[in-house]
Amino acid sequence: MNAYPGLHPEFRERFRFVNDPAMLRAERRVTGGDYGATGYTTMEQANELAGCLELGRGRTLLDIGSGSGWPGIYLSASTGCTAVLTDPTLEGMAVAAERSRRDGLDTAAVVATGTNLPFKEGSFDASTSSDVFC
Amino acid sequence: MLRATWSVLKPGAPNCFYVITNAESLTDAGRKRLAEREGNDHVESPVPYDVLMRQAGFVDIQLTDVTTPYIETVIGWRRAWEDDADAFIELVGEEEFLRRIHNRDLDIANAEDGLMRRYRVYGSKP
Repeated sequence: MNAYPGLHPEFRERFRFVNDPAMLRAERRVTGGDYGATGYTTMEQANELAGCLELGRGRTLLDIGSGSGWPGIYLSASTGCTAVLTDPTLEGMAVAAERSRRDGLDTAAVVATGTNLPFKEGSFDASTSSDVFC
Repeated sequence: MLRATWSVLKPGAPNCFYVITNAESLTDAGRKRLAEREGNDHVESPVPYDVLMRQAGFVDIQLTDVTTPYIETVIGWRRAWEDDADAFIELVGEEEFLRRIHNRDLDIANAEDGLMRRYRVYGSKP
């Protein structure tokens, strides 16, 4: 269940536990979010991204390597922008799509690597990524 | 990835992201030391990110070193897992739990020793 079989199994494995209560407790304590993230971008840093990227209603954000949707979904919810999330894992994008649906957001989740983005030239008003390894 | 991102942005659009990478001032010995350690992945870049951004076509480039808050966040993850050890061991098993704690320690050491840096990188498409 992976569009990129060469991907390290750990990238896919981590999504098995994203909604576990212990994981969510740790995430809330460390980053301030509850999006199933296990990385290093805190809520404060996500808010700084929103400012740097001048996000707001009517703007379209590309979040590359979004995993389970952090910080793209949060940025969409907090600024009103439309977020397009990408990640090489189908598992991550499934979690992100479910969270977006639950939050009633206009967000797309697309399985893609950061080096092969399946979008037309000049599609986005802003882009971000958090500790992507390519 | 930077060139791919540049391509899908509209003219004038900003790109702002976080990246963990080797320190640009690393000597060959430092690079070897970093490569020999485990810990979490990072981008092995032979040149600083402002150069990579310029090469990809971005302008108005700014690099902000956020290594200190990164270390605090890694310490936070380590503490959160240790404080809830029983739940995490049940979740991932003791061996994996200990491996992750060990990797956090390596990440902290790599950053504190100046081998690894985390940056907020900003640039815009002309």
